[in-house]
Amino acid sequence: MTLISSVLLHFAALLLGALGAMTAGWSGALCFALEGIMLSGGLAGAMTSHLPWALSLLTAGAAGTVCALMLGLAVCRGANPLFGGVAMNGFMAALSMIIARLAGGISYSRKTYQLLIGGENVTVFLPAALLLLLAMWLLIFHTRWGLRLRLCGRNGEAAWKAGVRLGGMRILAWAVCGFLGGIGGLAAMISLGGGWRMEWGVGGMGYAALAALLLGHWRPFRVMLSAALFALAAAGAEAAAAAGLAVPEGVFRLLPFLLALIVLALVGKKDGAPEETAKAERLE
Amino acid sequence: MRKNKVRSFLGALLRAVFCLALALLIGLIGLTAIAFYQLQSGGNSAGLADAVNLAMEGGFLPLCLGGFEAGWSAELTAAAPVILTALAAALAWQAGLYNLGLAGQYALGAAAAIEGAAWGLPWFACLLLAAAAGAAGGVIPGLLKARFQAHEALTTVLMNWICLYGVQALLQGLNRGMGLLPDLGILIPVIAAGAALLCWGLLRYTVPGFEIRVLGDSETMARYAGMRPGKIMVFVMALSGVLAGIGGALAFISGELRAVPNLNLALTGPGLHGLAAAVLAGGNPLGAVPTGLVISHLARGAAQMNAAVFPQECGEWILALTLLLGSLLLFWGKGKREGGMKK
Repeated sequence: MTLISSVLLHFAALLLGALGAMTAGWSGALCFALEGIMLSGGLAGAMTSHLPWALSLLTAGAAGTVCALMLGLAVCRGANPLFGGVAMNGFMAALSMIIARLAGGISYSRKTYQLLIGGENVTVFLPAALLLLLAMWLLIFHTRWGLRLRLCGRNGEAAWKAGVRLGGMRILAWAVCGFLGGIGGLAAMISLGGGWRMEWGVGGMGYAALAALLLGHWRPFRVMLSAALFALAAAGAEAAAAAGLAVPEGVFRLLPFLLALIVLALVGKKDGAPEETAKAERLE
Repeated sequence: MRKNKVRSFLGALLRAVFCLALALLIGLIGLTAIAFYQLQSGGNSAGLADAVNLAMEGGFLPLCLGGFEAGWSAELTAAAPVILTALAAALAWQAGLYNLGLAGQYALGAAAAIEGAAWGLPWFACLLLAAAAGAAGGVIPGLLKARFQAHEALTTVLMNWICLYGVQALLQGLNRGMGLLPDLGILIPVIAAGAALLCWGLLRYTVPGFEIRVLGDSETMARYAGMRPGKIMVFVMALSGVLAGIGGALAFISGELRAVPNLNLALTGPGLHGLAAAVLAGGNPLGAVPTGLVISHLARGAAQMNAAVFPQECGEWILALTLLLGSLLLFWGKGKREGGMKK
């Protein structure tokens, strides 16, 4: 895979994940299980990769939705989103390994997702991610439904008193988060090489997507830019790791996370999170 | 007053037990499903009863009882790292901080101990090295939180990946340290129990402990009382890292660690176990000891499952489920304020 298609694939994966978390976030739910959601989507999509790509993407999205709803329903009942998220990540990691073993190994074909533009394989995920970005931007910021969603995220009590079904909105947001994350997870899975164990999740891309979300201040187009930044870092790290230099490859692979750490330090608290989501994180 | 304390203790105990029981029940159902699938694909036309049988004999019973086979000393020794990581999580939680980077700090500690052993250092020097390494792993997110208000949940997780990739890179094939240290025997669980007692004493009877608890109640209150939340955060995260690092070192010293820490720990493994034990204990350091014992017992039992039928990750799956249920049930209906410990 050339560097450009690698970058674009990582970009699509991170963007989709971040979009999902953004939707959930605007409704006031903190989606920390993104790694697990992406993994479940990746597994489901990989297992159906012999089908046409649209079906495979839908399956991935559906699996992600199921996974997200498992946590979402718990969180809406008052579960701790951070512990629950970590639990869900471990849950999906173990479950994916179990399913992979029972199925005798997962083999998927990358050709299903091939999309050639100008000779470069940009994969179907890129247009999918960009279209979904546009869709989420319009939906969340330019429709009445989106307005209600954001109200849920800014002030849950006000939403409830205004007659908005708070619980329903949040669960729907979790479902959307799962759908987008599932597709993103499939993209992430495709970007990982062979020999990748499901136990390792999607290589931390779920968390990198969260970092991209924070850097993008929870606004769709800025999230797109920060996803691009992290995608460059991730793809660059992989290329460097594969280049067979004298430095062990793990050193390269940790650089994107180091970048994310530095980015988080710069962003700090003023990341423009909706009030309820910020509260969920601090649990005040 | 005393009646209330007994009540709340019993309530917490009941919740933890219920949570475990529910997780085991769901786990049994899952094991049955796997057994059913395996039997079907093996070509036998097996019924549900056979699947349940297989699940019980090959999976559930080894899971619950397998830990007892090697005897109590093995149980206690294996429990020590889990107890320490649970202490790390619980201590941070008391300050209202989420140290989700247990796996990374554990790996750093283990790596430091491995390197120390390879250089021929005595065991307590290895432990000190591990403590320092774990502290480094914990203090960085702590500083980022104190200085830049970066959310420690995400920073600790990112540190996880950084540490795991780093350890995997630096210790590639350097298993030379393994097995060079003497068998400390009973000292290992004693260290873990001692750490639990120290944490409890710290929180309850010392000034820094009080500051930690106040910070956990409300950062605003801490500031109003003249405390410096930043200092407390850095201290707590460093201490948390120290505990997890020592846990990793003890895992190596006791021989529990069978391979160099690598990405396997990222989502499952000791990090998850420590969190699960801490959540079940409601963030109470003393409670982390029995819950750590139970979780480690289950993890060891999981290794005894019939490997032909049940993939080895079944145990991790059930433990992750325990954490999931714990994060739900321990906060059930009370809203986010009152679940478990004050946050």
